[in-house]
Amino acid sequence: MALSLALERGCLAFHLWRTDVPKTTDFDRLAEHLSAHFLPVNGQKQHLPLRVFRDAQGNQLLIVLTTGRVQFRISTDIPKTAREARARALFDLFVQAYQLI
Amino acid sequence: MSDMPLRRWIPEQDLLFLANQPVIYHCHHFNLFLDQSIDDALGHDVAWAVKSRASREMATHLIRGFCQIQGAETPAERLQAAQMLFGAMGHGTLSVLWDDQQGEAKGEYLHYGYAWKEKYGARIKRRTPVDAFAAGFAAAAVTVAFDMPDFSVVADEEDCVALRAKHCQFQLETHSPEAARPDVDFETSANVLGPSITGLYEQEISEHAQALKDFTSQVSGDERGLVEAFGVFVTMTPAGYYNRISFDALMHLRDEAPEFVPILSALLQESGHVCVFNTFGGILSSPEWEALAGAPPSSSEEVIWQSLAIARALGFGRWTLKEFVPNQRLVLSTPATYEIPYFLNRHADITSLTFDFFQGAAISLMKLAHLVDFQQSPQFTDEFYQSMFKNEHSWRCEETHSPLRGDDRLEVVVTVE
Repeated sequence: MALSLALERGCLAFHLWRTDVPKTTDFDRLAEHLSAHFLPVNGQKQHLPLRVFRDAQGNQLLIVLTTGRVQFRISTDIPKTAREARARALFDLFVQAYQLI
Repeated sequence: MSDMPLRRWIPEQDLLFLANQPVIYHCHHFNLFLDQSIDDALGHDVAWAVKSRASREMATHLIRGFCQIQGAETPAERLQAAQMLFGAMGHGTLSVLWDDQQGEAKGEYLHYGYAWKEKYGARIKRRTPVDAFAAGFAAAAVTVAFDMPDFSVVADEEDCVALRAKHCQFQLETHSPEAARPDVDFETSANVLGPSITGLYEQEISEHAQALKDFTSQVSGDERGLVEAFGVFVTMTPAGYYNRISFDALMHLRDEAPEFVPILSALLQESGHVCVFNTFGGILSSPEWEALAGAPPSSSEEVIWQSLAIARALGFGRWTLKEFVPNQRLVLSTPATYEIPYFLNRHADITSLTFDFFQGAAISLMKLAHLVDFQQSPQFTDEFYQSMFKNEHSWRCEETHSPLRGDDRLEVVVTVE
């Protein structure tokens, strides 16, 4: 399955980006492969079907386990002009992890 | 060490308290809009005094309660506790120093300044500092930490990131104490509220509100002291801050320029539009809500009742659906909003006061329900906001019941204009 990245235009510029994976994805294995680049956010959202990760720059990655929706939240510390490039770099890392499942 | 819990609810009223003080969640769009409205109404100097004093009052009670819970006894421990609290609430990083009669504070990632720069910095050149809330909080931290008389320190912001400074800088000094106003805390709030009520979709609203309450209970400021959630910056802020600045601004205008009172009232109503559009819209379309509630809302009824669940979870009070006819009519009723305990405790004699924020939010709920297709990944941009509120399909709101006029609830009716 080819994944694609789309801007979710919100009120913060170039902040939210989206891709979707099948609901049947093995999210535990995906999380294992993502761990090279992202840290799971501990103590939060554990009661929801939601996985949340952060990288060292404060960018967030959210995965809704029931729908397969994936959202990248680019840190607002990154200049607006550099957020798309950062989103695409994170997306590439995500695709690499996804392809390893 | 007090046995006072850190965060607790009056559950049947959906009002939230931190260290015994009423608090609520709001996003940076609402915060900046209300802040600008007060500035526009009063001018910067008066507005700064109104806002920083309101912050100082509410923060004094909050920091004192928090220090008791934390067992912070020395000035250094209390200052540290205050700074930790400030960041945990999503207001940024604040470092306060005090030496006898004066002091200073350094702010980084302050919610108002940082969010203003993110939202407007590239388009607008600002000429006045924006962090009155942080100024008041720093002043309160000093008086609590050093056991000084309440409300006896003032703070001015000399540098602000919204003015393109690298960080925010405040100067603090002693001042003649401001007179205390009646407390509005857990007990005094509970004392003035009547019985709770229920309405349509009550079970769904209650269940979703509780799930979101559980979620927000685990949300705290990041290493910057900011909360980035639902695509916005979120703060937990003393409800009294919003209530006092709104009321004081209205009273100042009533005395100085009464012809402008309706304009400020309209702006306060618009703050309800801004809140519902950005915060509620952002939550309803967020991955967190999708995980909590399933697929995005697919009908106007779902948008309405899910929004009421969000309102309750943010501490806005027991917003209840009494009647809803799509495209025609919405009746919202509540025994409590975060404004009601404040006004009943402090200004119950002013029966002409109206609940502008609640009215604006009710109108905005109708727009959200009828003009936003949540199935099609709506884009919550400024442009979309402008188009929604210039749309010819507009609504009017009437406040039919008010606790300030002897009713047991606040009730508004929204109909097609």
